[in-house]
Amino acid sequence: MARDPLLVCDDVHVAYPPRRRGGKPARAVDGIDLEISKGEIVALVGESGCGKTTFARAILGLQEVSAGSIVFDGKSFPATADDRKSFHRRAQIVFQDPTASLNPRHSVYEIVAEGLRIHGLSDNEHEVVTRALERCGLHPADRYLSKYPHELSGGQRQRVVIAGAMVLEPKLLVADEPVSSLDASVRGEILGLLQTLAREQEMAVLVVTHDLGLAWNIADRIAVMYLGRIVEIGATEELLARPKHPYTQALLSVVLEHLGMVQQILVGEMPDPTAIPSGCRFHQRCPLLQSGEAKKLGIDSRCTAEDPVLRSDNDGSSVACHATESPTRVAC
Amino acid sequence: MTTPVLQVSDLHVTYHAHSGAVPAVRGVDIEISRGETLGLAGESGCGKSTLAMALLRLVPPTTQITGSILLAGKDILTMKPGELRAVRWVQASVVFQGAQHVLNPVRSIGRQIDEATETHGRTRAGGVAELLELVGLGARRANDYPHELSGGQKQRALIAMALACDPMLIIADEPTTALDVMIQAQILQLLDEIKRERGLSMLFITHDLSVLSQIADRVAIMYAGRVIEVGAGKDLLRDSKHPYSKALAASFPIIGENTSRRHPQGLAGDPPSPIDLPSGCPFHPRCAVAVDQCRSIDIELRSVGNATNRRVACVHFGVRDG
Repeated sequence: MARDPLLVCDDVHVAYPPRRRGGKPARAVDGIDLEISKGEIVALVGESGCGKTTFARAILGLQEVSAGSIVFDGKSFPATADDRKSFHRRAQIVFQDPTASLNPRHSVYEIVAEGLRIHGLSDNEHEVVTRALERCGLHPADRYLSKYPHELSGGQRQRVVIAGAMVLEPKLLVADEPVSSLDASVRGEILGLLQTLAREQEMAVLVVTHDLGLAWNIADRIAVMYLGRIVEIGATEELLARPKHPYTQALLSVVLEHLGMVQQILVGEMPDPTAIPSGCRFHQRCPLLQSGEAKKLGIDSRCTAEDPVLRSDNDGSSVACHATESPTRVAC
Repeated sequence: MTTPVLQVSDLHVTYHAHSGAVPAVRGVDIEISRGETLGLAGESGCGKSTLAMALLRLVPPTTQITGSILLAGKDILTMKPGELRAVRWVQASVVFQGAQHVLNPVRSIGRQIDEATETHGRTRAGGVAELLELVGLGARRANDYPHELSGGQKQRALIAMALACDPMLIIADEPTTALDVMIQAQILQLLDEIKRERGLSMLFITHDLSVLSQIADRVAIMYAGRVIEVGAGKDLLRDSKHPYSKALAASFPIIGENTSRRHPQGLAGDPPSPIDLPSGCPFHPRCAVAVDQCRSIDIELRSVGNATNRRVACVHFGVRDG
């Protein structure tokens, strides 16, 4: 478990109201427990529609939580506007598309300084802005200060976005697919930057991504999400070397095919969050049930009827799968 | 030796913009034989999509295309509009990127596939139903509209459309880019099966090298409008020679390999703009092993020592052909 947790999420639920009268709510986040400590990088991995972005937004107070609690730095999400302002200074976000995040009519200087002004931190603004830009790899900063977003490349734009977050010295940075709109060669540089910032500033980073390779690159821990729930969480090396949940195993087999792992391509697509299957939410697509292995283990009826809880293992990882409770199953 | 399905020689594609000429593709030679998949990879702006679109002359009319594009021995560039229409979709079709923007939102999937066959004067015995079954959508989906399909399903519909006239070559332009890894794996598997069953050739364009290791027989890497390295798929990805291909391959981490753990790798700088190309080798400003010569000479692709079929455009590798 995380030592010195900065962020503690306990059974967080987010449900979007039904679109039509008589419809069911979309349970986008359906009971998530997660702790993140200072200086730790956690990758939240899952496919589109699994609720990972909704969860990230809920952590930042950008999305109302329908049940459960989120405690940041010892306090629940603040109720008053003033406290919320101070909360937002300490918890910042970096979005996927830097072009959409930047005001095209503001210069780099104005963009980075904006946060400082909002929070009334305007003492030696010029110096703080310059330092933030240089720390984010844009040096000499003078060359960039008066430029506008359209004059920068995608990678440079994302650096400006990160600098804009870093001037406020946040304790938590949520990065939602921070490199997926960038070119491959630039990707590594931005990830390296996030890693350095986390280390130097003791800043916690939650990276929301669909990319297990990215998680391997920088994350200390990985949480795998499926249909609103974390189904497996553990230290990066351990989780990627010995995935326990059949969903994690399938995800990994697909990206590691070239290393000789047998591909387990799941049939169909993730169900809709308005119609989460009974029992284990993964059971309709689970290779263990399809191959009959679940039946051999005598757990097939539980898979379809009983929702598995995220259970901690003695190696510090946690898995929500009935099969992992059975001692006879050999993890591949 | 049999005629290759596609043979492109010294292809140049130049856009004419207000600001002047934009040389997007600058002298590309590629060849695809029957049943072969050539993967074409590179970063945004390297000219890979321009190349793909130029193959069927699907570029704005003011665009200048020179060189030759032989599809089953006939030059696309000298064809009259009527001949071109008889080739498009019937001999070579395209699976475009961004399925959500390609399909007509107010027409059913079945109708759109029919349209493709009608326009090109072909009727299919099995009709739309057979095609939809083939791509794993199910015949009953014919009456669905695009908004009723998920991203992966739309991509399947586009593949069905590309197969409608039984082409011999499919040009797939980033067909899996917007999809999740699991759906991507499903689509790649589908393309691979169809390709094998029908002996199709494919040009597979992507920015994602990890996809190519699964699907491509040969891979060509593009940079600044040129192919800078070409070779057998897995060999090239495992053991790239050109400093750019090496850097590009390294930015796709291999899970489980210690060199990339907590050490994300990239390449400093940005790709050059086609209107402001550096002198000599266009990669030299970002290259870690550039020497004086690189600033003045742009090396052509040439064979590398003992590697079979590997050709690299770098001063550090190989000897001149011939």
